[in-house]
Amino acid sequence: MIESGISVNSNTVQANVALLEDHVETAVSISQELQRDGKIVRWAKTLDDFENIIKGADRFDVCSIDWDIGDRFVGAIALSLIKRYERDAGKVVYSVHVNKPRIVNEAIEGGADAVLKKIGSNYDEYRIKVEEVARLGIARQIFRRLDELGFPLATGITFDEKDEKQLAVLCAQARQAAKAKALAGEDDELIQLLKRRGWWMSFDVASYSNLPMEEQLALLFQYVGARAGDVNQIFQCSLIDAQKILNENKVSNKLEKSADEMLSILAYLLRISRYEPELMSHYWTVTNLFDASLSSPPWDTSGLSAYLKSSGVAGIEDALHWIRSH
Amino acid sequence: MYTYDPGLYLIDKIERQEADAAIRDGALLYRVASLSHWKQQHVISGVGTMKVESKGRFHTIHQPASYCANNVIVCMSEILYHMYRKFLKQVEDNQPREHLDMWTLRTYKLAIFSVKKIDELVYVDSIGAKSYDARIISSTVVFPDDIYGPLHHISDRLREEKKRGVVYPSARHSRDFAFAFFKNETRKIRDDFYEAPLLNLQLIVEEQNPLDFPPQRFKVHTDKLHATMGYYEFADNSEFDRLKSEGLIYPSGIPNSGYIDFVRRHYTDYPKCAIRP
Repeated sequence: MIESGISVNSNTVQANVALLEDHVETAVSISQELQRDGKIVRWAKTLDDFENIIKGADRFDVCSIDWDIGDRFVGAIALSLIKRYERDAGKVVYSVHVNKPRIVNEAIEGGADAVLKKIGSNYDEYRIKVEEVARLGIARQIFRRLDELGFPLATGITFDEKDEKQLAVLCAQARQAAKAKALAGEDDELIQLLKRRGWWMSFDVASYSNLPMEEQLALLFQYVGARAGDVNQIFQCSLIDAQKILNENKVSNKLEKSADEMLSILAYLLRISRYEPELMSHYWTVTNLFDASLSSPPWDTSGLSAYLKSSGVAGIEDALHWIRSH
Repeated sequence: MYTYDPGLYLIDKIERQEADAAIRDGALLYRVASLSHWKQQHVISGVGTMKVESKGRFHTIHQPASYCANNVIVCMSEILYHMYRKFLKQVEDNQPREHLDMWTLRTYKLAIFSVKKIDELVYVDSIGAKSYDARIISSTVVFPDDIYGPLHHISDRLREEKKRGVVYPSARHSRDFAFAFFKNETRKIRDDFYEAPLLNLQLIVEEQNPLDFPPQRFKVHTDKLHATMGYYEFADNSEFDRLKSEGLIYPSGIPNSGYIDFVRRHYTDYPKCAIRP
């Protein structure tokens, strides 16, 4: 586990899959299975279409190919195209022909990460394999991007994407680099890669906005890493009431106004974090961010968290007053 | 059940003589609201302006007012202008990059709701409105800067006379009307219908090509901000298409995203000319 509760073994999130499959019914079934699994699928029926897809602007985390397209064995050519246009993508060969050792060897030599035999209409094994290979594909892209940014894992070591220890290091380094980029206000590809790998929290604005007020408040408190001991100081309430707030319970009438104001303060942190929950804890504690400002907020020298804990409900009002005026 | 009906806004918009105005039962209103305060109990409560020590077109410090419109573009262009001015003010105060950046891209909810009859409104762009303050002429009403003296004076007069609010042409968009309610009108919202699609509003760089989607992200320290135009995008295409097909979006011809001005312009072919490309 890493600090935001994200695991190195998290599932991928909306990984992009390019699919080469000439049998329409199979393609539809495969696509539906993968979409149910949260993948985004682009389907090509011919080798030419497949080439056009993978050399286009969209980037793919997985390429899944049928070896036999239109009664021609095109698997080796397809793999060479993937190597050319999407070298980091995970590569799956999914075919009825993989019972022939020659084809299996050709696929592995061509760079396939997984070779799988089509069996009837049960796609469970295929779905699991595509997820495995998506993790590989995204990990390779993350590794490459880190290297481009000057954060190589370790000079001279070949990255083994199946080594759990190396993955943990990759995850930690990539998160650190992404956070540095995000805090500098840069929209780096690395952040999107981490989100797809499941190593970076994504903010689901639609679901957040539809939550009741108390659930919004609890979620934003969770993003900044606040605990009951912090919340009870901020609201000048009991630890039990503070825990209720963190448990998404409705607040008492006495706390209602402060809770509503606190929600607006945390929503400000979300905005200043460019709607990236991963950055909120930084802005919750950072000091002297506004030190060059001609109109700095009351919390700037101590950090927002410490300020609110020391000044309680009056601090909530003052902090929100500044936010609303700026 | 509800669709946009221009006949439900009783405003003397042709002759512009009569100051008395009203909204009929079933009329649609729009308001851009925050992600945490967009529900029925928030949008026309008038509470929002009382929390802020700043003035608006028809309210001074600590006066209740809630602003909405009968045209989606009016709402969006008003907020884009507000974002633009806020950005400039933060530059003036030498705020950090994050704080400036925050004003260049915001996610909101567009509250779409229907109200019961609201009368006792005053159409401030009418000859009749001059009786409250002689300085109220058409140019005052759409004055682009935040110099609100005459408007605050008429607002105070109307509040004293127990009027419920004003109807006025937006200073940021030349079609249809904006409304400022002086009291909590939450109970006027019809409770059988309420929609609130997600809406992204973004300030753009001066040299943004309106044929390019989405616009490039504004870089605070190196780009020049476009002073008259911004970008909008409804987050969920299918939801927006549904709302349009149900007649809940006015103008009905607007696409789900595009570039709009936040200054008043003359449009020959509306809304086509109001949205680029």
